[in-house]
Amino acid sequence: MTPLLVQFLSEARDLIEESVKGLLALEENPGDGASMNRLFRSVHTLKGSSGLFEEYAALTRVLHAGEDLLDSVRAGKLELNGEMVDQLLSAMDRIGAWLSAIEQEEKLPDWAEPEGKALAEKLRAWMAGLAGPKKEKASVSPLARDVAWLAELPESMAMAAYVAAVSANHPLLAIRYAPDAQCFFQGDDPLLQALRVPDLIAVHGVINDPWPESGLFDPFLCNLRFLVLCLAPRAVIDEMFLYLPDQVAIVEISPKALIRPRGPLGNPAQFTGMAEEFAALLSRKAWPEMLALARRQLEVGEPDSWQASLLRWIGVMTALATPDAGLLGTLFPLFDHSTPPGLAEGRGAASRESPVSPKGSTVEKAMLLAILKAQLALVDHPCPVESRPGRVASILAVLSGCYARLGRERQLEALETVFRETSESSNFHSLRLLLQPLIQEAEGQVAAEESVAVRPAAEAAAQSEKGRAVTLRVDQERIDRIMNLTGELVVAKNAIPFLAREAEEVHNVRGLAKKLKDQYGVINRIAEELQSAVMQVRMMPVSTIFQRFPRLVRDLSRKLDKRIDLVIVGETTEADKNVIEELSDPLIHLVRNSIDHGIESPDDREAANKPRSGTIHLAARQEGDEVIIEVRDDAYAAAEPALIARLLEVRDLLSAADLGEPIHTPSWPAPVASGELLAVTS
Amino acid sequence: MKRVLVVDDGGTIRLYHRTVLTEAGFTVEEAVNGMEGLEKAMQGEFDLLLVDVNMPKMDGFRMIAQLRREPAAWRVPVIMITTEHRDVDREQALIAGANLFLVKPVRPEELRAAACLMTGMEGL
Repeated sequence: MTPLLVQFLSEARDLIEESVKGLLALEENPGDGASMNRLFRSVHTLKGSSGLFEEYAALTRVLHAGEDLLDSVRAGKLELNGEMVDQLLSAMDRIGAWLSAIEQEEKLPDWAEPEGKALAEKLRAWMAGLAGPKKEKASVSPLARDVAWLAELPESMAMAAYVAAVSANHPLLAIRYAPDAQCFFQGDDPLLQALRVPDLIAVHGVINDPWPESGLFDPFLCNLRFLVLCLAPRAVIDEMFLYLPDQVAIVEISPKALIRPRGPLGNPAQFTGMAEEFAALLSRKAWPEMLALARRQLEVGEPDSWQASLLRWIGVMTALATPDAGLLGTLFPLFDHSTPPGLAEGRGAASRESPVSPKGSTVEKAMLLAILKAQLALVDHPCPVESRPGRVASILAVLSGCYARLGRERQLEALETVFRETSESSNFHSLRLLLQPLIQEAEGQVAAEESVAVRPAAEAAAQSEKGRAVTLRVDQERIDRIMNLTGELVVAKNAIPFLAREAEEVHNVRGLAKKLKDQYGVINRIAEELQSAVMQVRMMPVSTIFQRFPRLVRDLSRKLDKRIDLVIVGETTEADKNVIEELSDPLIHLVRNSIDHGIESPDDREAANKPRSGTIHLAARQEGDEVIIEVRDDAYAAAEPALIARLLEVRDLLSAADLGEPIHTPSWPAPVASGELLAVTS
Repeated sequence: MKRVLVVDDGGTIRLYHRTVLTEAGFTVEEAVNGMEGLEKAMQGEFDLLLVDVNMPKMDGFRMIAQLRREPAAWRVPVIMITTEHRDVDREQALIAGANLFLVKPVRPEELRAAACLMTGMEGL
């Protein structure tokens, strides 16, 4: 457990207790402003701390909801009632339970996520009527680059690696290699890959999920991740894992980062005086005595305890040819801790070793811009007379800091002049003139960094703008040709994996094989996108056939003295051009049938207690891969004896297999002329 | 050695800021509320203050406003750090005289960059 987590857990317990007390006091005495403020602050502080741990987002979510609710109560927008207090109390209870889980397993239980959502929703429900709900902000954990995973390395292995690295007087590379579960299908051999690391010091495999029962075991899934320590140069390792960038973390660490005593805290009484005893020996550099003391103490203490682990580390360090006195000095006081502190500098040392973010300078440039803008805002902001000199002096201090940091000390003098003027004239004008060009310069630098990323997106946007305005009429044959060529490409690309295998197995060039496979992935994706793009060219909206129906319905219904409303739904649904074209005739047929034989005359409808106008629905919709076209009318019930008789007759005409065919095939038998209408009559 | 005073009532946040700043080479001291923060700021020679908004006894706004009136310490740059992204707070921070306003949790590299720039820290 990192010292930060230890601190968080103990503080969180206090704050929860504080909150519960506050809630009860407030329920007794709702008008108590001081209790209200204390309660709000407890929840607020707790939320702020939990925000440091990205993995405990569920916790932060509940606390945030609770904080917002209390804020509304505090502001007088809501009145605290018994039910609210109940919910807040039970939220605090649940959070307490989660903290216990974190204490034991260093992670939230699985059920915390859904439970947290439900709790937060309940709390937020009280604020449903209030204006301006706050949006939850996605927060990025500041600890994301932690190398806490080093703790997974077994102690003996960590010690051996420490000794090796210190003896070689060489920084260590720590590699965390978490192969993709499907990696075997990509031709990877993770264990071999891990063992092939040059200048290897330690390899440790860790299982991701507990092994399932033998019946459920899937030998084709990789369930291991590897922790590897080596002395090889960074470039060599980067090259080695070149094709697995998303599966490895490579961190240069100092051997010190390995010193992570572990285990539950043993009885501190057994170790009282240890710190002083060791310190006394250290001052004399009495290494053998220290080693002996550590060994002696180990015999009496619980071997699994945290202190025993610390003793073993001290033993390892004092046994070195040249022990690190400074480092040992920082370890001894840890015996007096009442909670396992991790290593006092555990996280610190580790993260100092973490690679400087390649965007480090970007962050600083952006921060410089933010700082300069904030100073300009300060200049422009109203300020009480008595704090004016203070404000000017602080801006001067900030700007001198920035100048010094950026190596512009020579310009400091000019800065001083401006400030003397500003202080004397009590006029911020010259200060403003100084800041504005600085801000422009900083903006330029930030923009230069961003433009690389922004340009392609802007170009793409411009392209789509153009695309929207233009349509192209193309001969269908040309489209078909592209379609055929795409089909051939899809087949041809499948030869590449065979070539890759040949490169690997016959010609034994594994690097080339890997590159071929990667390139295959790219070609595969492009071919698939091309195929779907060509398909899309052929897609047409059903509106191209639907649009002729209003006219058809209108003309026919007038001719027959019927009143018919046509309702069209889903005109934008798309289907392949061929399908659309083939659909046209059967649809006309269906609709005509409906008008001619389906919808009754207005008088008949009225007699049947229906509206005088009949309705025909024409609807299209996408369902998965299929497009459903539906024609529906509100005419006679289908069970007209005459119709049934005719249908039975028709069925005999069709083969049994054809019965699955819908009746809207144009080959519907023997249309009989009836006036101008093609129709099926009984 | 550049000195930073971290003023926050949350122990976890204080430890976090301390860790990040210590790694960056700063000497860090702590205060648990605005009152204590103001007292320490007036006594010690600090190069930078990190100040929380919501604290018992004296909140961050009042602390900064008071600081800017005290010749002994009025020149010290102040970063105000809060959990909320509210324009009201930003506005109040400017009126009080904070030199920068950051929202918790501040990423280590951001805090480092801001602290190094505002104090003229070399290296890294």
